[in-house]
Amino acid sequence: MATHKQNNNEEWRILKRIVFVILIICFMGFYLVWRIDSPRVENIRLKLADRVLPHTEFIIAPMRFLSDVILHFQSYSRLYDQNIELRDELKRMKSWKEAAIQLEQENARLAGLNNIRLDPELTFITARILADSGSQFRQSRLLNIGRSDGVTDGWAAMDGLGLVGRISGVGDHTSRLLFINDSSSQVPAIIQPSGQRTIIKGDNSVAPPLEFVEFPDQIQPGDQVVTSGDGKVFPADLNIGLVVKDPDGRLRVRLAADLNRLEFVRVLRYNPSETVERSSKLIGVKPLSDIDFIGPRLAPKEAQ
Amino acid sequence: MKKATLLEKMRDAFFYIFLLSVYCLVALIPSDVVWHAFILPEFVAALSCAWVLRSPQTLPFYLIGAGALSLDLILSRPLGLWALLTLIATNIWRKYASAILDLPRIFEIIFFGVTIFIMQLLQRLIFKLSFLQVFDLKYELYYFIGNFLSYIVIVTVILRIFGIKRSRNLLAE
Repeated sequence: MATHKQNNNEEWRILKRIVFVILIICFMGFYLVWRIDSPRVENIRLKLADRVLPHTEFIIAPMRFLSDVILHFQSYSRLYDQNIELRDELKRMKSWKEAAIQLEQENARLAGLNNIRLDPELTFITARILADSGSQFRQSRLLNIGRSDGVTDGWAAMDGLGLVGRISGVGDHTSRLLFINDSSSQVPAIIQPSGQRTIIKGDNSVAPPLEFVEFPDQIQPGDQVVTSGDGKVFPADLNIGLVVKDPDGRLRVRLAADLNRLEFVRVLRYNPSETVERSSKLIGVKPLSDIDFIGPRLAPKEAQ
Repeated sequence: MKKATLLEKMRDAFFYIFLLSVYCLVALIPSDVVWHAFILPEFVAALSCAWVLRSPQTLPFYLIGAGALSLDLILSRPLGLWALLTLIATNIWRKYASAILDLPRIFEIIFFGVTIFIMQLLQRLIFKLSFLQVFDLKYELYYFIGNFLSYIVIVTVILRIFGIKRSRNLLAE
């Protein structure tokens, strides 16, 4: 009896060991699959988020409320300073508003005179940040809009001040917003006023570096960085931030968007304009294959 | 030699899943007001190691694996990597549980420090081998300190609240 029990225990132990090894191999496999075919795994993640997140709202809501209370308390503690600051800002804004209205009118008049055809204005969907990615590996957030709202991969998101990032992964009711400072993000941009092109490469810091600048000497801290529209992911001329130099002398961009205090974002509906791929279509020249044969022709064979 | 009953096993499994779920929700809170000041420490490795040391019978390896993998999936971490490291680490701890518990508490904490250091090192190595970006050393150090401190909190507070006692381990084998 005792021997039988001992044998059973031994068999159970061996079985456990086998399952353990299988589990280890499975995890290695998961990692390899994630590394090789990341988008597919990300889709699975989003599907999971689609299922899980709506049910966690009742727990996340009080937490959000609590953090809002802390935020508000912080803002109350510096209410007086803020008030003075806001009054100053309001004065400046009023003068800017006047200038903007005048410029807008002038612009409309000139555009009308020249019969200019402008690009259609960008429209947007406002989305609420649902959840943090919760990881140091990705600078991203989950939004409460998804495929059912017409969102597609690649659309840009702004916080009203500057570019926040782009949509990377869309579920039915949620989507992932990949921040501009994520290590996998690379955004083509133009530095104004020098007009130099650059790539903003995310490095998980609040001030991502500017890469591939041709003439760094022509760039000054404080220059404005906007999207260039190259690559057709982002619309052109979206504000990104200002150039700064780090202690090593490396050029970086201080983002205009406040990534740490995001609650709502505007997701821009953007479909890149048509591109001219063949000049013949534009200027009416027939392609070579369509040109009629010039010269003597053989009579077509008649059917036997 | 008394073994843990089915009820005890089920209760502990429930507590374990509950604690992981709470951690997951905290990590998912969108507000950076609370979290941007410091890096949220890794919880699953610390909790599993502390638990396995005290009550190895009630925390089977497949539950650790499933929990860690779920966190990898939900928290956008490289899928399976941290789960794999956690599973291996907890298995080693399980093997030497009684030996570690015989030593003073400070050694247990030091052993956890060494374990988490090796885990982070291996993760860094695997990242490099698979051409992924590795983090700054400064960042890794913060992460290490966070993990280390979280272990002390888990051992002194959480396990005491949930009644995961040292004595149960002596009955395990």
